[in-house]
Amino acid sequence: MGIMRRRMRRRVIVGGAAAAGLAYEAGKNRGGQEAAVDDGGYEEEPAPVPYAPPPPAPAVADGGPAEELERLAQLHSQGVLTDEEFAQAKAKVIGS
Amino acid sequence: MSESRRIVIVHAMEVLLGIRADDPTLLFTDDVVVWSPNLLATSLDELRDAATDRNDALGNVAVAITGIDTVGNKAFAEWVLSADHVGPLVLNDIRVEATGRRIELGGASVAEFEGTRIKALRTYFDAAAVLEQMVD
Repeated sequence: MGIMRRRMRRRVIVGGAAAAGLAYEAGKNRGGQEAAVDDGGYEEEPAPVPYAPPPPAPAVADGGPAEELERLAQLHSQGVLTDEEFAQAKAKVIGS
Repeated sequence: MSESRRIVIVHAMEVLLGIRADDPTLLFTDDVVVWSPNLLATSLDELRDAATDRNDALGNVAVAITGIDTVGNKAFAEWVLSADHVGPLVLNDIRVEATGRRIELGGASVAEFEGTRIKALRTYFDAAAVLEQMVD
């Protein structure tokens, strides 16, 4: 139990260190940007790029009921599905 | 919702948990990659070895699928597993001797399919929550 506590604490510390590292990097970058503005006087900021959510990943077609029945038949012939399971699954597909 | 994929992912989970004795070649591709917090197998052979090495830490295992859906060639399942802790269990490099306690664990699995077989299975659960149930 002591070991577990120690390990968990260590993980939290490591996580905290990683977060702190990121914060440092972010601060460093921000500092660098400010310095560039100070040195160069007025600089026109680039227009903000409007946020566009990434397009949804294309879903690979599942196939229609015929393809689904074919898959079920294959599972049945391989022995993955029992006769009863096959009949139930087939009824679900046909009824859907 | 693909009924065939729902069935295969349920069978696959039961095979991995030792609840079902189906031939894994019917459920997984030869180059299957299976990952969970306490398992990594990058082929069917490795998966078989992992199943053979299973140390029977858990007994009387039951898994209930609480939600499942499929999109394209992927199936997503949420589940709740309950089992008796009857043997040494190693999680996060921590070994806990059998406590005899009934533990309950919630998790989720993502399966990628190639035809009717699974080519990748990623399972996510909170290992720390399991350990807490054993040591509290």
